Order: sequence, then structure tokens, then C-alpha cells
Amino acid sequence: MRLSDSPILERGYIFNPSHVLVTEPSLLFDPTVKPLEGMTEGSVLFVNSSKDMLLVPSRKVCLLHRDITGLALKYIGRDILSAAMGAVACKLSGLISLQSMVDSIEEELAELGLEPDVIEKNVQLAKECYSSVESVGLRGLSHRPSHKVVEVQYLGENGIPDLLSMGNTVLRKTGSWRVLTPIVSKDLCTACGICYTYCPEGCISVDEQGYPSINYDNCKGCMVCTIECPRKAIKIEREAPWS
Amino acid sequence: MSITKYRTLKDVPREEFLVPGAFLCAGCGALLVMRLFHKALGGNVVWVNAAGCITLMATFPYTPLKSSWFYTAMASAPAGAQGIRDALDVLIGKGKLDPSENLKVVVVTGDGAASDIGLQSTSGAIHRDLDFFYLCVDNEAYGNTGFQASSLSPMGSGTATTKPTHLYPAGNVLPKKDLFEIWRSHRPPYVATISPSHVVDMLRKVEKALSFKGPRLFLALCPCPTGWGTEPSESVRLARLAVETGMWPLKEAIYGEVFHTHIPSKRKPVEEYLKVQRRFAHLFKPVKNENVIAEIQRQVDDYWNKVER
Amino acid sequence: MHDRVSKKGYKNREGGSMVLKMLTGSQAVAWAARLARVDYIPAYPITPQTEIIETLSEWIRKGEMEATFVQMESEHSLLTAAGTAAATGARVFTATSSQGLLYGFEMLYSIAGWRAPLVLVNVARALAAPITLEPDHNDVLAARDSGFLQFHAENVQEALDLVLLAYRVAEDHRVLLPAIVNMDGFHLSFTREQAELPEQNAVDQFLPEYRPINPIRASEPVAKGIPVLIPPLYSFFKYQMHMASRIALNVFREAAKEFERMFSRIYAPVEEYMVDDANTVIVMSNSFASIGKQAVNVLRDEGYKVGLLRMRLFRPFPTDDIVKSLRGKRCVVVIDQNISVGKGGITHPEIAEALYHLEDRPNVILPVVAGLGGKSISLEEFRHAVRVAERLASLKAGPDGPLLLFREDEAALVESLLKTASGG
Repeated sequence: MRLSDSPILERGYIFNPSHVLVTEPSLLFDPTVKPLEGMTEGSVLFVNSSKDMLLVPSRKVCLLHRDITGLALKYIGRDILSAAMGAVACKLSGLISLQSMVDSIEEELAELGLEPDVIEKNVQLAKECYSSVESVGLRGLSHRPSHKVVEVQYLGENGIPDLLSMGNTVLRKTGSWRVLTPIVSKDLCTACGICYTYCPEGCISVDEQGYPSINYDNCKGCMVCTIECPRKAIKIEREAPWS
Repeated sequence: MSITKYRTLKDVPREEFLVPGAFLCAGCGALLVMRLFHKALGGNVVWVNAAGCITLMATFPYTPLKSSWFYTAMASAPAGAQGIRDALDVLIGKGKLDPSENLKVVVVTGDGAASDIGLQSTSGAIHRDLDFFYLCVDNEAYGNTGFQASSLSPMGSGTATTKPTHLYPAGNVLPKKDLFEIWRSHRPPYVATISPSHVVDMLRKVEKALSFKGPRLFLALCPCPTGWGTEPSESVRLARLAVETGMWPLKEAIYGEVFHTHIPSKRKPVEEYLKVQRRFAHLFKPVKNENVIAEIQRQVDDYWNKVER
Repeated sequence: MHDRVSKKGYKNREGGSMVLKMLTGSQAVAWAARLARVDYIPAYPITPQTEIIETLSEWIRKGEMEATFVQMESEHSLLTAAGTAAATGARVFTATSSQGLLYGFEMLYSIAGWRAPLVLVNVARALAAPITLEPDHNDVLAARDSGFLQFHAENVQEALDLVLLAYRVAEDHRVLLPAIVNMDGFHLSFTREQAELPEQNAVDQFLPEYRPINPIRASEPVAKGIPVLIPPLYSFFKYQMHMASRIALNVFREAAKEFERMFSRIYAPVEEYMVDDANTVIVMSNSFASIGKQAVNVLRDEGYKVGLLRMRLFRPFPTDDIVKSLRGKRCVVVIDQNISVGKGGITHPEIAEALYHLEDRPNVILPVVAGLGGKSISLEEFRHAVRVAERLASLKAGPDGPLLLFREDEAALVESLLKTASGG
């Protein structure tokens, strides 16, 4: 989001944000997403988390956090965060009134064809999020880090868009997509192999006796396993103790 | 009846050809189908893809597949398979390539590519008796572009281009093309429908297909949480419901002769399948559209009456 | 110019015997594919290309040629199969024309992006609508920016030789880009000329076996053609293609030197005809350049100091060769046998750009559009264009726009046909 009282002559990616909002803490250190890149002194980092961030990325950055997921679960009953995070952004900016925000949410969600009761729940959630943070105001773009311009070198047969490293998506930790976590209760499990079979991701492996274990680095939290388990042996928890 | 190595879920092969972390939605039915289908196919596979959700399977520099992959274009994945198959054959034939380097060539596309833009190239490949597999992961719309109607979208469903309005209360008014029959009319060695809910059925069909040479085509119902408006966790259950209501018949055709591999003993009403999906919500709210629901039920009943007769 | 008259059984420098034949352009490129020992030929018929695939198909069916021929159901599929086969490691040949090239157009960019080095012969034919059969170069030049190398032939011998050169350059690991060899429909494709068939052994020596990069096979899985959704990566790979194409210019020169040593025929990126002492140089390409050379002969007799520069390579664009030939000339007449509607010829701006920064650039670079849809270009039209250029040079004036050549008798013919059509 870009806010200005003069014409905005930037487009596309935001390279030097004054505020960064992160919906999922594990994305903070994702090598491809790199949400902290371009943040400079005085930038505001808001993280959706129930915990204090132990790792402060930079002392010069103002760090805030709230448990937005918890609020979303409370108001809508599921982890839909867009209205909530939008509300936080509106408030932090110090420029967008509560009413403008509510009007926008109602308009956009109606365009998506959502039912009035769902829209109302989103509005209530957004209102609470709005009031849960203080405005910190916007900082102008005074400082832009500069980069050298380089010439691209010709790499010959090594500069071809073929991919030779197979099965490497495990490196992208899609576990960060997950809000709720499936946990197998060993005492209820009968090693039937159903959860292993139906996991769309192949995130469940089985040991020699057939007992499953879940790869939480990559589990997206679709919960097919919890539904398919005939013994209801897979429970759903908000955040796994190790996350 | 041939001997099968697949009797229960205990027989699902343990080897994984698809590692976690694909950039597809949580609960993607197509991803589950590909994972299981690949287990039955075994190794030494090259997938040939047309534009669709599945294209996001491999995006530079990542792929969840341990097998080779070739994204071609939306209209011509079967032609891409032709080039690979022919090249492998001619290189092996000329002694330029060791036969151990041979691969199974498997096209995977969505329903839009299969039934609309790529139908011509599919017909060409089947007609030429190309030795390949075709897996159509059918989520019944153009999912990757935001769920617009394809010719495999069912009548009565709402999509981004067939939104239900007061002028069009049914949403999509066109029938779902019968791709199984279109394929079957070419009399290829093997055509089958599969569902991610009926895994043993799927594995057996792939196993059977492996015993043939030539075109072997699979149409898989693939629940799509974002497009269908369902919880990701419901994907397998919905696929099962589609089979149990009779909306998704499980069948195969060997050189054109059709066999049903699973006949639901007592079909559930289609309503059970429809009412849990947002894409059919307009058939139930604000007022129930009895006509459209009855028409869908009638079509299902007609189909099975012919089968059971 | 290569004007040596060969006789049947003539010994070349390598000592091998040559075979002289009267070949159509189509037969000549089919022979080139055969001599290149191609593995795979996906095909689809279209006039005026069809004789190429008919010839190849017959040879394969008779067992005279060891390759797989498959008739596809469209050019889009044809190009897809050609590209994936080349990426899998087969040496691939195919041919199309005009509407066919455009029907498969999407795949041109894909094949080039896959860095799959196949050779495609385009038999030039003007584009619909109105639909027609005779040549101009809007079809092949539509593919200008795709990443395919482009070699344009004037005569039957050159069409054959350029196919061999195209394989050598395209498959070179410094390049790895596909190539189009262009020849004009009818005027070349169906015209018999004497051509020398190179010895198979010599071709095998000139053109070693294709060594594919990251081919598709069981022991080394690879993902090809995959999306690159990060903008700098996309830029990077496109730059790589561009640099590969630029390097192809020198790879072509090297290959042409070797070709000359083995086959005694000289191929530079451009061909000069009486350019040395010319004041005005006509720039042309393909088979109509023969007519242009004949016009140069006549205009020379009439006292015009004219020459002709023929573009053999379009991609990579041979800037240095063009500069060398055209710098210091008083006038350049660029005859584009194509039209970019609303602008003019497609190659004129490229020639002008190549010369712009020179202090001794020509005074006039006249854009001319001629020969569309196979319309002949008469001596009068060449003379007229040269006169216009020289007049503009003496007036120190620039052209208003492209000169659209048309003759009085042709205008009269058109008028009478329009009358027939309208029933008037």
C-alpha cells in the first residue's frame, strides 16, 4: 500500500517500506520472501504473533506484534486474516479513519459475494484490530539505499532455464502456510495408513509398524488427515509447542 | 480378471515421487491425485504439462517432483509428449541412447486444457496411437486464472464467468462435456475415470493401463477448495461424495468397451454433494432452486438407469 | 558472388566427388535434412511448403533415410513436438509457411526459450487477409523477435547450404538457439536450379552429431520450460538468449570458413554485389535479390553507379557487415518485401539504426516497400527508386515515408478486376 498527498509515481514492488506487516512469523527469515529487505531506520515491523519476537531483526526497527490469528479465530472462526491485517495497516498509517476502513471492507467483501453475516464478522474483527494498535504515523521516503548497476554476463550453456535439482521444494517451508496444526495421538492411532494415503502433500510418512509422523516444516495444514482418520486420532491445535 | 497387487490401502506403494512443498493450495485434489497416480506409475517418468494450476508445480528454481517435467503450452501438451516419445524412440532405435534411459511419457493438464483449447492436440495424439498416458485433473473450471467456466464445468455451478444472477439463477447453464466419451470414441486401449477418494480403484487402473501400449487416458475428479468454496480438509470427502451420489461414475473402457468398476449400491441424493459447496450455494439460498437440483438428479438417475439395465 | 560453373563429377578440394542435380528449392532443403541425418521430422502440409515433407516422407518410407516422420494435426502441435524432441536430444527438421508459421507462433518463442536448436525451413508466403499464395516476408519477419536465428536464401544451392550451416550454428554449445532458414515460395521452392549435392562423408565431417544440453532421459531428471515468476530471472534468461544470438554471428563466420574450405562456397552474413564503387546501394533479401542484381547490371549500363547488398542473416543482425558495406555511400535504398502497416518496411529502421551513429553515414536511406504477395519488381521500379533516392540526396531532403512501388499497367489491371468484382 502506498499513501501520499501528492501524485504517487511509483508502481509495482515496494522496495523501501516505512511499515512492513508480516502475517506469519516464519516468513520473516524466508530467503525468497525477504520481508525485512529494504527496511531502514525508523521503519515499523508488525508481526502477527502471540509471542514476543525473540529475534529482533534490527534495533533501529520499531517492532510490534499482536495475535491477529487469535482474533480471527474468535470473530470468524477461521484464519482469514486479510481484513484484520488491513485494519492494522490502516491504523498504523494514522491516515485512514475507522469509518473509511469499515466502508472499504464492506464494499470489497460484498464484491466478492460474501454473505452479510460473514461481512459483519469481518468488520467486527477489523474494528478490534484497529483499536488494538496505536498509530505510529508515516515516514517519508527520505532515505533510499543505492545500488550499483552491473552488466549481465553471458553464461553460455549454464544460462539456460533448466532445473536439475529435483524434489527441492522441501527447501521452501510451506509449513508457514499453516495456522492450525494436526497432531497424531499415538494412543488412538491404529497404523491403518489412511492419513498417509490421503495427505495431498506427502507430508506424512510411516514407520515400519505403519505409525505416521508428520513433516511440520512443510505441512500446509489442510487437515484432510484429521477428517479422513477413522479413529479421530489426529487432533487440531492452534500452534504446535515447537513452532 | 487380471491379478492385481493392490487389495487395500496397505498396498499403496511407499515410494514418494513428489516431495512436500509444492506451490499448490492446501487440500488440492489434483496434487493428491498426482502423488498417488505417480506411485502406481513408478519411476522413470517425464510429465508433460499444459498451462493450469499444475503448472505451478515446478517454478524456477523449485520442483517437488523427482521425475522430469516439461511445461509446453496450454494447447499442445499431447504434441509435446509426441515429440519426447518419438525422440526417445528414434534415439534408442538408432543406438544413440541406451534403452535403460527410456521414460514413460505422461501428460498432465487441467480440464480447460483437456476439454477446450487442447482437445485438438489430444485427438491428434490418440489418433496417432501415441504411446503415452494422459492425466486430466478435473476441478471443473479454469482454476489457475480464478475459476472461470470450462466446458467441463457442471450445469448449475457458479464460476467467475457464470455467476448466478437473477437473469441466470442456475449459474452455468451449459452441460459438462463428456470427455470420457470423446476420448473413448477414438477407441484407445485404455480410458478411465478415477477419484482421489477411491485409491485402490485408481492404483488398479494405472496398473492395468501399464499393461497396454498406446494412449491411456485418465479423467480424475479433483476437488478444489478455493474454486468450489469448501474447506481444504473436505477434499477427499467431497470426491467420495461425488462417487456415492453417482455424479462421478468410476469406470474404464478397454478398446472402447466400458466397464463400471464401482457401482454405488444405494446412491445418495445429489443434494448432499451440492449443498456443501459454495459454487452451488445459489441453488439453495435465498430460495431453493428445486428445478435445477431435480434436473441434476434426473441426469444422474438416467445415467445409472442405463448402466444398471 | 559464387559463380563457378561446376560439371558433373567435378572433384572438390577435399577430393570427394560431387553430384550436380536440377533441384527445386523444396527438394534442395529436403536433401539438406537428409544429409544432416536428422532424426525426427514432425510435419503438416501447407502450400507452398508441402513438397519438402512429401519428399522426406517418401525417402523415409522407402528406407532411404533413417528418421521418424510424423504428420501432426496442426502447426502449433508440429512446433511443440519439434521443440520437445530437440530438447530430448533428437536432431529435428521441420518446415512450414505463412499461416502455418503464425498458427504455431506461440511455440516459436517457447522453443527458443527452451534453447532447443532445431532447424525450421519457412517457405515464405504473404499473410492473409486477403489470403494469397505468393511470397513476401511478413511471415518470417513476424518471427524476428522470437529468438530463432534467421538465414535467408537467394537460390536453391544456398537454401541447401544454409540448412547445413544452420544446424552447425544452432547446435553449437555457445549458441543453442533454433534457426529458421527462409526461402521464397514458388520463386525458389518450386523453381529448379542446378545445385551441387555435398558428399555425405563431407557433411558428416562438417556437421558432427548433435550433443544436447540437459536432455530428457531416465538417469538425469530435468525440469524444462518451467515458469520463472521472479522478474529479474526472466530478464536474465532473455538477455542470455540475446547474447547467445550475438555470439552466433561469429560462430556463423567460423562455420562458413569451414564450409568454404570443404565445399568451396562462400557465405558471409551479407552478400555484396557491385557495392565497392557504388554511390547508391540497394538493400534486399531472398530470391527477389536476383532480380535486383539484374536491375543493377542494367542501371550500371545506363550510367547509374549502383550496387546491391543482400541480407543473408537477419538474426543475429549483422550490424558490422552492414556498416562496412554502406558507410560512405551517398544513398541507400532499402527494399522491404514486407509491410508493417502504419509504419512501412520492417528492415529499413534496422538498417538506418545500424548507420545512424557514423559520421560518414549515407545522406539518404530511402524506405521502399515492394514485391508484396509476390508482385514482381520491375526494372522501372528499381530505376525509379534509385532516382528518388538520388534526388533527395541532392536536395538534402529526407523521405516522407515508404515509397510504395506500383506500375501503371498493374494499376490498370487492379482497376479492371475491381470493376469485375463490383459488377460495374
